[in-house]
This record gives sequence, structure tokens and C-alpha cells, in this order.
Amino acid sequence: MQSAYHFFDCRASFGRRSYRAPGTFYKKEDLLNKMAEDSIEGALVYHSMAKEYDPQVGNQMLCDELAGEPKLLPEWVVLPHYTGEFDPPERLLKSMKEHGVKAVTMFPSPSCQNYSFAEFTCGALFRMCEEHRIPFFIDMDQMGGIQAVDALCSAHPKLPLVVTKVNYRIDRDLYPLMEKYRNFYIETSGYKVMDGIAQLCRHFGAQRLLFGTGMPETSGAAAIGLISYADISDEEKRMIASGNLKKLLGGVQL
Amino acid sequence: MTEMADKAKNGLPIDGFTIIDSHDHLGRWFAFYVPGGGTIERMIARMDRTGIQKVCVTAHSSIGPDYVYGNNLVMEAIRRHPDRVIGYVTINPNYPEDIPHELDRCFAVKGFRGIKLHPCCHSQEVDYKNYAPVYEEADRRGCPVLIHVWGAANVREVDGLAPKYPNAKFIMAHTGGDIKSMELALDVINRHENVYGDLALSTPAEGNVEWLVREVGSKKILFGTDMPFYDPSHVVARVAMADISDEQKKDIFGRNISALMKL
Repeated sequence: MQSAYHFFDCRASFGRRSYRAPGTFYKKEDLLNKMAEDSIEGALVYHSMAKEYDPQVGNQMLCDELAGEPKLLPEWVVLPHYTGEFDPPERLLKSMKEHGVKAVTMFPSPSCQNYSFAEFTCGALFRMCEEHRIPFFIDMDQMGGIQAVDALCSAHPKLPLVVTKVNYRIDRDLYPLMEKYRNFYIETSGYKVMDGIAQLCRHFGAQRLLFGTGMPETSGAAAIGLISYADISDEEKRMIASGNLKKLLGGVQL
Repeated sequence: MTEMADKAKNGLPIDGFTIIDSHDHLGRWFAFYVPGGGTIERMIARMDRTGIQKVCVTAHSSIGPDYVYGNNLVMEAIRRHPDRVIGYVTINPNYPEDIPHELDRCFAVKGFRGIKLHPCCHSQEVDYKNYAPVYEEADRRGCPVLIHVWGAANVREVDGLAPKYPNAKFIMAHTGGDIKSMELALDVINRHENVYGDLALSTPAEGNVEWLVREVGSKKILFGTDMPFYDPSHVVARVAMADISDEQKKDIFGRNISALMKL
């Protein structure tokens, strides 16, 4: 039996990683098999090599592996261009258009690609995404905390910002930010708050939430349960499961 | 996929057998928002939605500042919902003079079936000397002691305690926590008949349930959700959708804790 909610994962990846936890997989084929088992109809994916080695190399590997694979949509890892190791925004945009890439992510934390998540470093990328309505995905632990949302959303009110890997302890900051910024969305896999999904829907509407899994690093089944068992309407579940992501991707102006 | 998996994908309660959540809390928590104040009624609504029949609870207050206040909350929850709530007596080792009395006071109430310790929140080690009367009581009763175990040091402490109290049933909450400690915990579970692990994790790795079952078998892993810290739905789905047999799922979902608590 398939799920009635038509899940489409907004946060998945594949490729070899420096550390592979026991029980997890890394191949594209295994991701597709797991998606089929879990009744996930498609996924927005980045390549682990783009995160853990080099964005240009990993993004190219991603495009090569996704050729002819309709269930997986490419998401590129981006890097500020100033050092010359990554394309400047105008060239990046052209390349994204050529490869059909409609979403980006970045990994600026000190333990990852190690640069400031600030205007002086990332402003050109933020402006590019804002101007072209490109959904910008970022893990909460990559921004140095959820407080960074305030600065980013106030400077870029039309940037579709999707914060991923949120946790269950952040509501006292999350609620005011959700209330203040309508361009701020959250991916749901980390948000394990009891009855939390339903609470967010009641306060801010289901259109602010996007289903994601974090596979293969985190559990796809857990992410599904959070939505399927949420105390919200079936229509709200379908919005979160895939409708909201499709709407964001449909708004991209390349 | 099994019928259980299909139910989880479609948000239908898992039914046909008894699901007992072995690791729960109750009430508010100082460090973050718990919707509805984490009342037992709010928890029961989530249990009904997912198919959980019973929860084994310790109050947040008990693992925080006031275990007597918390144990009283658990007593009240048992009184209001005797068919849905099982209590853990919780003690704070920093008040050693009260431990024997509190154990007696709570175990006198029908519905308390185990002991909960949260050494980290009480700024002590798992094998801190003031816990000795607690382990002795668990050994005498042959009851479970659910211990917050996070990190390799905690796992090693349980490794040292388990043979000293062979009749006590040690449940390592979170099965050690982080993945590296979990690997160590699985070795400890395999070496001691009276040591178990549970599934309460906020960021479980993909394939985690299958891996645990592969390493120690389905009889040593308990269904625990940490509600109302977390919603129970994601742990229900992890088990229901795992690539293990239905019989193994039933062990995890309720048979194991039922045997430990002699329900």
C-alpha cells in the first residue's frame, strides 16, 4: 500500500561520506530502494562529495548520476566565489539553468566548509537566490543557531529560506521567527516536539512546513511518522508531504 | 512491507496487540516548550493516535529539582488512568537521606513497577555511591531500572554495575546515545543478560532499528519514545516500518517490557 500523502523528500543525499554510521547506506540505488520501501515518491538531493570534499566536484558528480533519473531532483551545494574556487553568482545561475537545478544549500559551519554565514561572505549568493526565488536550504547547526534566521530574513524578505535539521528544543525562538517572517520555512524531520507539527500548523499554517528525511544519515521512517500521525487534516498532510515544496520549486525564476 | 508499515505510512494506529512505551516523562520542562504542559491527557491523545496502550512514566520534575513533587504527579496520573499509566519511582541521589522512604512510599502504590534514574540531570555518575540503595532495591525486587545513558562513560558504568546486581534489569535509555557509544552499549547488552537498550532518540540514524536487532536480537531492545520530550509518532513509525519480522516488532513494541515489569 502506498501512502495517501504523496511524500516528496526535500532533504536527502547520497555518495560516500567520511563517517558512515552502522546500518546506514550511501549509494544512489540504495536511496531509491529505501524511498520505494517507505513510499517516498521523489527527493531533492545533494551529493555528499559536494558537502565533504568540494562543491564543484560534487555538484558535477550529482548531475552525472542523476541523468535519466526522474525521481531525484538536483540540489547544488554553493560556496562564496571570492577565492575563485567556485563560480560567481552570474555564472552559477547560468549553470544551474543549464542543469535544471532549482534549489541550493550550503555548509558554512567551522567543522564543515568553514566560512561566515554573513552578508560580507554570502550576501551575493543570498541576493541571487532572493532575486530568482531559489529555495535556499540550510541545516540549523550550519548557521550557528536559529538566531541567524532573523538577520537573513530581515535582509532578504523574498528569499525562500528552508531551515533543515531543526530540533525539538527551539520553540521559544522558532515561534517569534515564524510569526515575523513569512519567507521562513522549516523542514520537519528534526522537529520531534510532541504534537508540534499540529501546533505549528495551527499557529502559522501548514504552508510553512516541508517534509524531509535527512536520509541516509537520519531515519526516513521517523520523518514519515511525524507527518502521517500529526493531528492535522489530510489536506494539510499533503501540503507538507509534497505540495509546499512543489510550490516553492514552481516559483523559481531562472 | 507489512501491514504495520502500511498503517504507519498512512497515519493509522498500530493495533492487534499491546504496545507499551517503556520510556516516558510527564509535565513541563524548564529548558523548552512542551505543548499543553505535557499532561497525561495530552499524552494519551497522542497514544490513541498512534496505537500505544500504556506508557511508563517519570515526571520531568523528578529528573529535575523535585522528585517528590514529580513522583506525586505520577501517582495522580496512575490514579486517573490506571489502565494507561505505569510509574517509575524516581529518586535524586543528592538527597540520600530520603531514598529508602521514597522508594517505600511509591512502591506502596499499585502501578509503580520500576525505578528511573537520570544521573546527568542530577550531576552524578551512574555508579555514584548514593545510588547503591536503589540498585539494591531493584535487585531485591527484580525490577527494571531505566537509566539515562548518554556517552561511553555511562555505558561503562552500567557494564560495571550489571554483574553486581544480577536480579536488577538495567535499561540503558537511548542505548548509549551517540552512535559510537551505541556500538559500545550493544557489546555490553550482549555480555549481560540483565542489560537492555531502548529506542528513544531525537535524531535516529537510518536503519538504526534493523542494526540494533541484528547486533543484539529483538528481545533486548525496548520501544521507548521519551514523550512528551518528543512526539511518539516517529518511534512508532521507526519500528513499524523497520525491515524486521512482525514477531520482532511485537517483542520491541511490548513483549519485552511486559516481561521485565511482570505485567
